[in-house]
Amino acid sequence: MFMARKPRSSKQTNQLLAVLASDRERWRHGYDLSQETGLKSGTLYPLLMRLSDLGFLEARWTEPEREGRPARHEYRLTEAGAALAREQAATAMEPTFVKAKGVVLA
Amino acid sequence: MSFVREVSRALVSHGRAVMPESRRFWAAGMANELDRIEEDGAALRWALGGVMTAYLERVSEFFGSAPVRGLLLLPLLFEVMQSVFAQTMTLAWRLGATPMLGVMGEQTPGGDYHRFIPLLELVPDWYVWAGFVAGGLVLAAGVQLIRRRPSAVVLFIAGVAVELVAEALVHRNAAFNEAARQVFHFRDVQTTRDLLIPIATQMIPVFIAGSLWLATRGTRARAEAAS
Repeated sequence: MFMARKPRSSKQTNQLLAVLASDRERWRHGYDLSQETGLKSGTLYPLLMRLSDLGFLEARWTEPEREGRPARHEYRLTEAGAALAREQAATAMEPTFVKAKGVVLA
Repeated sequence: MSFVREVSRALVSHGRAVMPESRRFWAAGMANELDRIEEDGAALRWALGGVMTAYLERVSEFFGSAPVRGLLLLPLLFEVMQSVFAQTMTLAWRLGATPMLGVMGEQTPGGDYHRFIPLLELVPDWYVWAGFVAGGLVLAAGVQLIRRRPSAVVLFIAGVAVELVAEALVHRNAAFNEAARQVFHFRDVQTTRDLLIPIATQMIPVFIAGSLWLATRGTRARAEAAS
């Protein structure tokens, strides 16, 4: 039976998940994702591939907007991917206690 | 079209050719984005990233193949042997297993275990067990390599780290150092024995760690996607 494992939680993966999850229904192009996340293509695409392999990302071809231009890929999170993004965001937002001058700050 | 743009196009097209068959969909996606990038420098950086990804995927596919993983087991087993050889010799000495010592001694530079006796006398217990722990970790890395699990890299690095730390600690003992110096001192200098083999011995773990990473990166995700 297929059981989706989580990808290794890296800063880059979390960045990408956060951007994709900001509007889950919206399909995004690779270069737009690169600009929104600040990830270079050599980092972004291996992450997209892994997320897709694990069933967290959908990818599809779209027809070119203008004749003569090549078709493009579009990506968005699956339901499982959205759940993973929520989980990662919740983990990232867990309060960190910092001790400063004897006072515990949340 | 500018020269930089032409180079970028050539690079993405090369990337598409290099990318393994199973990943061609992604190579095409990366390549087709190039037309949407207005600035030439950005297009070139995009193309370079694409080529790098393609080569990484191709090399990973090669290292992840069953025959190559099988071959990688050989240097791993060499590492295991290197970790436990001296320790086994020490145990054999302490247990009085002379025939075993004789056989092991023949495999050493000089071909005789007797010259190691001053060193065997000084080896602390913890150093012996550290060697076996290191060997066990490297062996576990081998098992994970067969299973194509990324934990192979962590296990291997842990094994090498245990060995390096143990080595550093044992050499803090002056008597041990002096005995080691005498045991490994040879009057005649041989390039292979005294230079090439020590350099190769130091480089092999680096080579193995890199190969393990390439052989196991992303493979679990791929395997699960295919199942």
